[in-house]
Amino acid sequence: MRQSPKHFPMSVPDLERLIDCVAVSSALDGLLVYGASGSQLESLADRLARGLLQAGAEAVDRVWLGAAESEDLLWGVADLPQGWNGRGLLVPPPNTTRIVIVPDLARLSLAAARAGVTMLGASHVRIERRGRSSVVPVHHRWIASLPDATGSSVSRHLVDRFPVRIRMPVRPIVSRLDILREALTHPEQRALPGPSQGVRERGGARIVTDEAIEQTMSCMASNVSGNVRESLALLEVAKALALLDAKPSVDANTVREAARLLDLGKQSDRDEAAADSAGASATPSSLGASADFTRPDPMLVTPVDECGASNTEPNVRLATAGDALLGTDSQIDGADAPAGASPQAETLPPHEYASLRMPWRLAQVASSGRGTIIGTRRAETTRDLAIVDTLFAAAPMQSLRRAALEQPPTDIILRRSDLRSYRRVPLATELFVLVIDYTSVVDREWLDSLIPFLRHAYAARAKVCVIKVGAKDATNPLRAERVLARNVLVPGIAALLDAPAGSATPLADGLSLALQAIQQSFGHGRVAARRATLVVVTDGRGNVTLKASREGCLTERVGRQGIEDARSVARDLRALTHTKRVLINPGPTLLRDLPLALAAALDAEIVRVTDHHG
Amino acid sequence: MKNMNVLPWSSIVGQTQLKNALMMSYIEPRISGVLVSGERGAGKSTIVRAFARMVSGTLPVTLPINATEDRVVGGWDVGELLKSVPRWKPGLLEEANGRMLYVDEVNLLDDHIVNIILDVTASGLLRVERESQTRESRVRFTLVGTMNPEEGTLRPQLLDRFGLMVDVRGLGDTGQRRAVLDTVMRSAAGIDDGALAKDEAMRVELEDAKERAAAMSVPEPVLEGCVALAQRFQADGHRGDVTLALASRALAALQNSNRVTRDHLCSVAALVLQHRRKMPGQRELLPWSTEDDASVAETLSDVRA
Repeated sequence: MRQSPKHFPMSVPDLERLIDCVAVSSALDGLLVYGASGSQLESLADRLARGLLQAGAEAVDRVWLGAAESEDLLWGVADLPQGWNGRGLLVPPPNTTRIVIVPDLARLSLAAARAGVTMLGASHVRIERRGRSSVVPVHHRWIASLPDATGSSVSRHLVDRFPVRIRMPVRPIVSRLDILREALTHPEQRALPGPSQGVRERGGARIVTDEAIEQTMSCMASNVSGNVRESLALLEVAKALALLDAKPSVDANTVREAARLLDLGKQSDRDEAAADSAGASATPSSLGASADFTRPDPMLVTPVDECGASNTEPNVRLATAGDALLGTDSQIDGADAPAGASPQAETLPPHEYASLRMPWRLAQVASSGRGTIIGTRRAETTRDLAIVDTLFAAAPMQSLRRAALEQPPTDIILRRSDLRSYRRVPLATELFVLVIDYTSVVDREWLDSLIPFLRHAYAARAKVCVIKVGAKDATNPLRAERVLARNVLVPGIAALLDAPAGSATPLADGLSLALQAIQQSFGHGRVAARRATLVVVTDGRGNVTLKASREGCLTERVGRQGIEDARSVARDLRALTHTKRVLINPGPTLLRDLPLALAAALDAEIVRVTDHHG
Repeated sequence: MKNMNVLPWSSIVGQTQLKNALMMSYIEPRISGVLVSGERGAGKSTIVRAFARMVSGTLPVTLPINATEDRVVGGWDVGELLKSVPRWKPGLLEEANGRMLYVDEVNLLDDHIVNIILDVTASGLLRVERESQTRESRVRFTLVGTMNPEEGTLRPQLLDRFGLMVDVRGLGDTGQRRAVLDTVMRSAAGIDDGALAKDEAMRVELEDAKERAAAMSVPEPVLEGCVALAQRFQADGHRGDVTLALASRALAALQNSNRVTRDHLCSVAALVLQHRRKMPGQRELLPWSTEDDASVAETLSDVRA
């Protein structure tokens, strides 16, 4: 769903209310906070932990997930003797609710991201790993942060799994002395109250009235995607608010209040809800001292259908108890705040294709992500142990060892010589991407310029991705096509270098496919490529727009848009690190500026075939 | 949102095409599975789980995307092995024998697990050669997968294993969306509305339809239409032809018709052919279009049945 940017006056009390909603409603199991720092997330988790306990959780613990968590670490290895196996970061002890903190969703390991998609919104999760088969109930709350600048690199699929998505309130201007005093305060003294003790006793489902559903429909009227998940999230927040406020049912006003918290629906409704909640001191979770805490937003855009004045001046006040929730990160200030689009409704820009999939290179790779298992061998270290083979090696000696050590008959005794580790196929760490614009090629001389790069790719055992632009055999001439190969020796690669040209030149689409291929190969865990070489063979004359390539048909005149789109994608490619970029201009061209401009956009080394031969 | 309870099948709002596809695959198991592709929040998983519970009383055997090979094909029971008791633990494929094997986010499945599933669905034989064991067993299951196409598509070989494919879209109709909210909230509050009784009646109807389908023959003109359609859409192999015929017959039985007609074939063409059409390399599946419908109608214009 796409909505115009709106002002989002999230205040600390509002944030606390939302966290309390997450605490009392198991349906709201994910909270995504745009722009929150690690310490701020920890403060949020503190508040949430108290809320969970007051809402009836027997115990609450927390784990942090980052870029390195593997499947085994997440799900544990069951059935091994005590001390060998962790339960897994996502498998809490019985009767314990686990808060899963993700400081940067964009850097979350692939395994953890896939776990998030599996767990968020589910009541149970099935674990089928390493001999273990179990169905465990999900007692989690995920709190994640997503730096605004990295939003585009996160799977929208994963983001959509978080039912509550908000922006972190901007910290007010406070004196350094106050920050220092606050930092020296004992954490227990800083502790913020959670929802009131009465929540546990009030428990039970709230009745959702017809008016509440009508109001939800009204708030989500601009949602034309048909995705009902956001509507349900709004209703769940409303139910949680009713529970917190000891209301017997969810009425339209409660939905309006929920919509205001989530920055959904019409401005007039949100204003009305804000007025209703002005006496928020009556609510069990509010902190009166932290009212009037609007975010200064110099980029404020007021939609034409909105009414009411907006305050673009920063509010200046001293820190209050509520600021503990905001942490003490001095780098957060109003100037850093992005335009206030509703995070709940936000549609992220086009992102890395297929980001939750195992990278394509894993077609030959086992799930552990370190190369195909081709056997086992005696272990020299404790890394990548082959557990079953280790147990098999140890099993025959058990009765002797138990007798010698007088151990109980159920214990298994391992010695260093028993340990086995996997033998795996080595993985390539380099990617060679070749974009060939066949319509720019007039003879075979450009191949001489390519040979050094092919030699390097061969020596580096690089994976190969060839992108065909304007080939005669293209299924749709408006689209580029991508061919993947294990290395440059795959026979099909030679044929690709010599394919006949078609009529259209979807150069922007070809560069876009190159961008996706490199992002994919870099993005995921220990098997990711470390370096990439991108060679683009073109004269820069794209004559198909990116839009036409994506839709597969031409609906409007192209003009220069094909060239501009190609340059735009080239600039995205320039932003990639660890990537060498080369542009080969394959022949005499009447428009000498085009390849130069494209090379500049790419920040690429340029090789002119005519220079080589002339 | 939390699927705290599986919604009753009778309470599912809209998504008629997906409902029909699931029911057809139950009436005619040789259709061998349904792939459900659709945007976020369209209720794909909810519908599949509701169907499994309606027809079998339990949730389907679920293959998680991070399952390891030993749990898919079977392996030693590690817990017992530690007690020096070598005991083989059957995998999920054996557990799914005769039932539905459900893969949520099937396009995120590891490729080597996909290869295993391909082998087993192709041969109906699960042959395990690992950890000093050689085992063979016959397995046949209905493969049902859901996927969000934003995360990429499947390999053609796996696509072909799904008899039917349904492209699910979110409900655009305001009344239907309101009904969804109402249904979910009522279900969460424990209000039944007699839906479970309706589910049981539907299950009995499906069993009857299964019997009817088994006794129904497909007229020669319809068979010729199946072949013509598969050729028109350049579907590789013969699986497309066969599935068109099976699905037409299942739909006829579902609709309580006494014979299979061209209309039945027309109705199932998109479900059978949209994922078997030739696609540009490395591209996502293109949506079925009105032009495709026109091609179907044109191809079948001479079929008299």
